[in-house]
Amino acid sequence: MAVNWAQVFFNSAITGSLYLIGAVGLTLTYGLSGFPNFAHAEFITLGAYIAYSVAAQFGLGPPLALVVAFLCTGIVGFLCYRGVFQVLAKRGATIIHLMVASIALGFVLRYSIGAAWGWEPLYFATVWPTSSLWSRHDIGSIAVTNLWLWLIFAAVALAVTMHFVLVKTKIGKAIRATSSNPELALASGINIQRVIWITWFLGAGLAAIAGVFRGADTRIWPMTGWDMILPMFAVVILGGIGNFYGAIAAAFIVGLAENVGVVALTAMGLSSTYRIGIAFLILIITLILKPQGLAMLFRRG
Amino acid sequence: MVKKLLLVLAIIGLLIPLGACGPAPVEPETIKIGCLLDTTGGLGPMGVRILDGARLAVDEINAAGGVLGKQVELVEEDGNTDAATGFDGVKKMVEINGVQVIAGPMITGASLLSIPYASEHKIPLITPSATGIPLSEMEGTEWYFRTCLRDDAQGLVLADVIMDKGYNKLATMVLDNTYGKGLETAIIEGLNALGWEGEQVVSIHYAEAALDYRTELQQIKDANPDAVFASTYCDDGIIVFKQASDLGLDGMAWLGCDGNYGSGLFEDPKSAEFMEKAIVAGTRTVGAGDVYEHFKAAYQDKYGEAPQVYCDTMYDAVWAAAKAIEAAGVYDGEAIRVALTGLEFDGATGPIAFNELGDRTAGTFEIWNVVEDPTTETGYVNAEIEIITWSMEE
Repeated sequence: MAVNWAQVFFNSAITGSLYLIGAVGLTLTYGLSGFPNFAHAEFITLGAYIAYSVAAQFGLGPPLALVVAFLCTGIVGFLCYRGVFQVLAKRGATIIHLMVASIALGFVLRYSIGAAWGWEPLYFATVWPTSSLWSRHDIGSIAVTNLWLWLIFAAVALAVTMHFVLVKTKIGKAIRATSSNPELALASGINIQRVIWITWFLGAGLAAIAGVFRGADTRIWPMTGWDMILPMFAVVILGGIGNFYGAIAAAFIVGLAENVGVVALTAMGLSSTYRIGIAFLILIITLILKPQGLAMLFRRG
Repeated sequence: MVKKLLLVLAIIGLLIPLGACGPAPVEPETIKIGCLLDTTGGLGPMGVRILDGARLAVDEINAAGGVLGKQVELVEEDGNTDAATGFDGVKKMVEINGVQVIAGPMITGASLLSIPYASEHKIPLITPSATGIPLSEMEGTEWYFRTCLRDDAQGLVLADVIMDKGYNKLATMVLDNTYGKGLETAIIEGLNALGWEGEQVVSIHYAEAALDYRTELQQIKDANPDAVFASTYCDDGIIVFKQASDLGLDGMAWLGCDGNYGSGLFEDPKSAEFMEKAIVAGTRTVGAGDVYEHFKAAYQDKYGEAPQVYCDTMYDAVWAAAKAIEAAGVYDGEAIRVALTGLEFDGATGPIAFNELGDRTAGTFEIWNVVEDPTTETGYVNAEIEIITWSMEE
């Protein structure tokens, strides 16, 4: 059987793009605040539901719905940090306390979402029935849909924009400074608190965008984000915690490993359920061999 | 240190459920029939409708005077399409509600966990929809009855369809669980028994929650089969069909089964369109005869839609439980089980009798496909192609 590798690589790009958009906020907040925010999964879910709701209620198209989801979820992300984690951190909470609190917050958000919107899956195709997102083409031997192309475009645009923000802008430099040495950043007159707030806002907003893409590609239900959390953590760990460039490389490595993994698993007559095991494996191997992840490749000097 | 340890032990002690010594009411006010269906999770849309079938049966039983002179009460638990949650529901009903017979569990996974428990606590289970063959091979299967037909029955019918249509290169895209893999095995064994000369070119066992099936489906496309057999549930089936459509697999002939029968699959327009175009035949068990006509009309009347897959077997399961309690004369699990083994009556799904394994001895299947129907909410509907009678002697 001849495997259509072009399609497999393209599928890997789709998977990787989704993981990248979802994991950027996770890695940046992890780096800045010093704990893994498990409730990040719920920002993904919430973003999808907000976009769906404004599309259903006010007839917003995909671009506007995406902007509303970004802003609303960003604010929720900021409020979660300001209302829960900052308060806990001020009282001397350790990484364990903060992590457990984030798991608890995730549960609260997930089941609130379930109570508000119900557990029956929702489909974006029902609110945007005539959208050009759904049309498909064949480019050579590769089957694509506009949605998949937009997803990959969004990931590339995100990578480029974030690069310029981090390198050229004041806030970007402040984020990097705070991430690598908070005391020194504070001493240099950087308002650390504000940097962290902005990062939480951005991170949650980007998670919302991932949620809208995932929702449009599959379906929306209260577990949408949670279903993706494991590969996203693999991306964060492999890329190096808090390292944006590492996350870009890691997202596409995990995407490639999963999709090539499916080809290999099928050839061996195994279930493709184990594709999630590939993300696990990457996570464990990185932790054992190079806990700092790919970050070492992107460190200067 | 010792104090701390004692505290921890005390907390653990509090957490251990005092279930084993739960109440077993001798003279209940009502006759309770347990009902374990998956009204949320992957099979949620299907489970909600099956529950309607159970409620209809209870209403009719009560209207006819109830059982043992008392009204019947349906104790409802949700299994969330998850084996462990379903098993918890069974335990809760037995230990807290004191039920002596349960209609359910709906899925094979929850049944696997529940059968040893049911046999230990002497509670007969009657599933409307768990079709896995291994369930009849377990210890304690004499406590497990089914009003649906086993996978091997459906697999044989599907094998017949494949032989009839002359497909020689078969691909399978099945759920990675006892249901999906059981059906796949039954089809291949059925085909081999019929002297099939074709081959299975690719076999995909996919995860229900992955939702990214592009590379799996691409493997099928690359193998270029004559037909693809898909055993899916509802929510994951939508994603499989949607992505199959995007990847251009709609030119192949697809075969469905009871798991992807029903209007739930048409919630996403792309999935509905794909099924209308690609699915040449699917199977499911159906009812036939006067009782079925009565059931269908009553269900339509009460819920405003036609009964879907397994609504009729659930209706029969609740009726079987009620008739067995009446025949037993006492509300006691052991007596109910004995009564079930000798039970014979005309249900919505035809004549109901159980063999020594608790399985149906005969039944009918429908071959269906999907057609457009502008009068429905989604614009699509399942249509009957033909009805096939199956019995164990064959």
